[in-house]
Amino acid sequence: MNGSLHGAGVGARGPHLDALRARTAASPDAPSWLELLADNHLDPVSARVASSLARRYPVAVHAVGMNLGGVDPVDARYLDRLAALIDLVDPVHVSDHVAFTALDGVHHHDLWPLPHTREVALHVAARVREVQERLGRRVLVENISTYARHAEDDLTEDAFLTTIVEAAGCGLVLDLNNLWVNQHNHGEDALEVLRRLPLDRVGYVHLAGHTRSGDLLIDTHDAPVCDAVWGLYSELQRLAPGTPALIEWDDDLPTFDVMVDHVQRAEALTLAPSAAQVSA
Amino acid sequence: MSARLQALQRRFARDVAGAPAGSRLGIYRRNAELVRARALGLVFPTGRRVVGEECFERVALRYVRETPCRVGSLDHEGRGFHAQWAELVEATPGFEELGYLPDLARLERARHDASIAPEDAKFDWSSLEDADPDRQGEWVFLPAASLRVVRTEWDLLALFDVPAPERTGALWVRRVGDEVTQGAATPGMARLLERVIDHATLGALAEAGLDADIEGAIARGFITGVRLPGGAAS
Repeated sequence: MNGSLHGAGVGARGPHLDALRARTAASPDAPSWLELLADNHLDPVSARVASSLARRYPVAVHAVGMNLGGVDPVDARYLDRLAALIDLVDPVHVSDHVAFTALDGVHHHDLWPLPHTREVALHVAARVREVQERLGRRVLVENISTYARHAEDDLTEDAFLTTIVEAAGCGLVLDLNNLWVNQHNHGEDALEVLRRLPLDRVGYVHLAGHTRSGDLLIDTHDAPVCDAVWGLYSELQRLAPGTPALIEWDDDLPTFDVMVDHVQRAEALTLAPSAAQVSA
Repeated sequence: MSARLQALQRRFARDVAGAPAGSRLGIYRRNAELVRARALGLVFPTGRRVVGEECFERVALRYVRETPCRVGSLDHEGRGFHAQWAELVEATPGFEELGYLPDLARLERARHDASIAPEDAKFDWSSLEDADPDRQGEWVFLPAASLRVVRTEWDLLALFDVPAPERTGALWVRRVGDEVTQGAATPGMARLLERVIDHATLGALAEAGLDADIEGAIARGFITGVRLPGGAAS
C-alpha cells in the first residue's frame, strides 16, 4: 500500500468485523481506512482476519508492545512477529506509543509516562531508530495521556515529542484526546501544544472519548468524542489541512452506525490538503 | 542514560504498586490490573460463566496482583490460574461442587494455546520414503503445533456441549482451520500424544507399547511431521 491515508478511519474491533467485511473503503457507509491493533493480530487466525480487512481498506498498524520508552532490550521476537503482520497487510503506517510498558522483564500492559527531558527523548529516539532499522521502515510515535508527571520533567510535551521525532526521523500519531486529557489533568494548554508540534510529521490523529473520575479525566476510549476534541481537530485542519483522523473506541463499543456517524463528522471537518503540505 | 532512566522507572513502578486507590498513581495500578483481569476473562470464558462476573473478577484481580506478568502478549496470561481456582474451591463454602474448576482452567488455557498456535502442517508420507529403516528407532514424530493434552477425571466436555460417551481421564485439544476442537482421548492415545509432545523417539514409544496408535494419530492430525536421524524434519 503506497501513498497516504485519506479521510477518517476506525479501529477494527471484534463486534464491528462483520459490518466492516460487508463493506469496503468505497462504500458510502464505511470508514475510509482502518487501524489494526497489531497485538490482536499476531497469531495465524487473527492475522487472517487482518488480511481480509486489508483487502477491503487501506490500513495502519498500531502496536502497544514495542516498549519504546523502556530500558529492557528491544524485544526482537515481538518485532519479528510484527514484521510478519506488516508483510501480510502492507500498512500505510506503523506506530506505537511514547511510553514504557515493561521493566525488568515485567510487563504492566499499560502506557506509563516518561520523564520529559532531552536525555530521555534521545533515549526513546535511539530505540525508535532500532525499531525502524529492524522493520525496514519509518514508524510513527504517539503521545499518551497521563495522570501523573515526573518531578524531573524539564521539557514541555511538544518539545519532548519534537526532540524524539527529529532525532529518530520518525513521524507522529497525534492523539488529540490525549492532549485534551493532559490539559485537564495538568493544566497544559492543548491548543498551544498542538500549534508548537511539527504538524508536517503527523501521519494521522486519534480522536477518542474519555471519562471523568473525580478531578481527573481518564483516557478510556469508551465514549463519544467530546466537543473540545472536535475543536482541536478543526484547528488542526486549519493548520495542517487533510490530516486523516482515526476514531478510536475500545470499550462499551457503540453500534457500527455510531462509528460511521463519527467518521462522517470527522470527514466533514477535514479540509482539502494544501499543495504545500509535506506528506507525512 | 539507561541506568538513570531505569532507576526512575523502578521508582515509578514502586510508587504505582503502593499507590492508594483513587490517587493519580492508583489509576495506573488499577488500569494495569483491569487490563490483565480482562485478558484472563477472554482466556477462561467458560470458568467466568460458571462462577459469574463478580466472583471471576475477584479471583482474576487476586491472581494478577500475586503474579507479575513476564510476557508481552496478553494471550499468554493465566498459566498458573488453575491453582487460584483450586485454592478458591477449597476455601469457599458451597464451592465443593465446583471441584472441576482447576481442570477447566487447564482445558481453557489449552484451548487458548491452540487458538493462537502456528498453523498445523499436514503429514507428508513421502518424507519417509528415503528414510533408513535400520534407524527407525531414532525417528521423532512431531505433534501438531496446536495439540494439547489435558488430564482430568471430570466430564468437562459437557460444558462445551461435546458428547462424551465415557470418561477416559484425558482430553485432546487442537485447532482445525480456525476452530478449536476437543475430545476424549483413550488412555493409550493420551499417553502416546504426551510422549510425542515430549519429543520421544519411535524406539521409546515402541518400548512403552505406544507405537500401535501412531498411524491413527497421524490420520487424526495429531502428528504432523517426523524428524529423521540427521536432523531433517518434515
